[in-house]
Amino acid sequence: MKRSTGFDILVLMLAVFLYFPYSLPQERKYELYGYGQIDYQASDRKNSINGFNQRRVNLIGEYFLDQNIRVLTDLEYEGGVELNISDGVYSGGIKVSRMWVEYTVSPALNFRAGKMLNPFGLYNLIHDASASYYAVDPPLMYLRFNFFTGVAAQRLISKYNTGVSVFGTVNLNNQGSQVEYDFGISNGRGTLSDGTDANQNKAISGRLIYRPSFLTGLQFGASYYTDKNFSGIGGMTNDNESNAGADIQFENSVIQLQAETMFASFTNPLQTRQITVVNYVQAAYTLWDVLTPFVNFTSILPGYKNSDNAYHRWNAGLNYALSPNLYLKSEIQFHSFEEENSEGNFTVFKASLAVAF
Amino acid sequence: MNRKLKYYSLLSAAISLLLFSPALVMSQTIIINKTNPIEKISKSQLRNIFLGNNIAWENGRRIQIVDFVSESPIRKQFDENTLLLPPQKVGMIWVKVSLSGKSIPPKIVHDEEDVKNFIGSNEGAIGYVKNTANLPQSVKIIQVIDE
Repeated sequence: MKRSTGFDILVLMLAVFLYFPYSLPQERKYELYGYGQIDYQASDRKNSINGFNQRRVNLIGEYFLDQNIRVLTDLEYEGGVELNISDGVYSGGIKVSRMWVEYTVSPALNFRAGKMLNPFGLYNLIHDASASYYAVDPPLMYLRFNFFTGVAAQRLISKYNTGVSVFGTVNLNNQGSQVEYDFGISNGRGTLSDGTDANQNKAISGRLIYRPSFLTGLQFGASYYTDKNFSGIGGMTNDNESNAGADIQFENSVIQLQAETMFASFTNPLQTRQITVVNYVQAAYTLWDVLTPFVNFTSILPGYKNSDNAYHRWNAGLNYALSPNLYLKSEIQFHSFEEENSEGNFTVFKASLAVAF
Repeated sequence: MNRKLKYYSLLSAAISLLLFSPALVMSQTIIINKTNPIEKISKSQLRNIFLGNNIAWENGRRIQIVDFVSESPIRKQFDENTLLLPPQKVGMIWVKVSLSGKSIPPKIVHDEEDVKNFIGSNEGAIGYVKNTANLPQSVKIIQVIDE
């Protein structure tokens, strides 16, 4: 009798064990996905080296603590990372690109805390996720520049924010008209690469998106960012810097049109305030659902009221979707400067394989 | 003559019926978890959900989309008729939405039974099916209204 009871319990446990593995995978508690990019570059730029680059791989994990709380981790391996501590050989980089906890009250009210991408413009939230845009790199306004000789290359905006944000989507009517907002307070730019603050001042970021109902696929955006940059763009310590941006995008089944402008205000090495303006327009047309030629024109006016040293780049490329998650890209870039400079004008060819998995 | 007229009237009525029948406009049935209080949804809201612009239901519960593989005929029909985009483009938009951290990518399945099971097991889930027979108790149909 005792043996029979024990056997029954064993059968029951086995049934529970067999039942749960079948039913649990249906419930989404954890997701692991990511993206990667392998590039090839050739250029007639002085001192440039042509070759391949295992640019990055990012592993993203999402954990659902319950129906309203989500945790996201994003670990980035940049370059062909190799850490060999015993030999003292290091190359590439590993970082916690993002890590945040999100609490959703309603579609219109969400809170996030942690390290996150700065919600500036059309591209900063997908900055490194090359599989999500047509070109090999995001537009120039999101990349690092050597604006002044002797001062380290910097971005005009902060790429990451460590802090808190509130965001949401408000449906204005039943026809699909929406407003999206995202406002945050964060540490701002500092010298500490782990995201801890280098000064007492905090950064403020904000973005608004409006999607009208009269044309599906159209959206207007405006962004703002300000901080006290510990290592200022012009080399000043704790420089008050701010950026304002506006963007427009239209996308339907075959066309993608984008235009963005950014005004960046900072102190230059002559200790005067400078406003740098970066603009671009981009047009892409998709053929047979998979082949997308695109063109991009970017201009950088280092001094808003003085167009000396203006820089332009024409960019034409082809994006081929091998699958919805794998893209083969190629493009040619024509870089030109209005003034004579040590670099001179140059051309760059880039090809890339971008994957989201 | 009268016969001909009758024939043409019947033919035009049949064509009109075909053109404007809800079956053609929306040949899939939208289903959600039974615990979700939503009873109807507009086409543009549906579009915003399936393109990642709406990430949560009104009670804050995260929306979890279940969709078919991009080669599936039902997916192609839904993407082209409801989202007004080809599946390839929808896939690329979701790469953007998920990699930006805005929303979790849709759960991709192969057949309708998987859609029904997933929705039955996830309170915030939404999906579409053609065959509404044998819907689990934990799943309900919602009405799609014109905006």
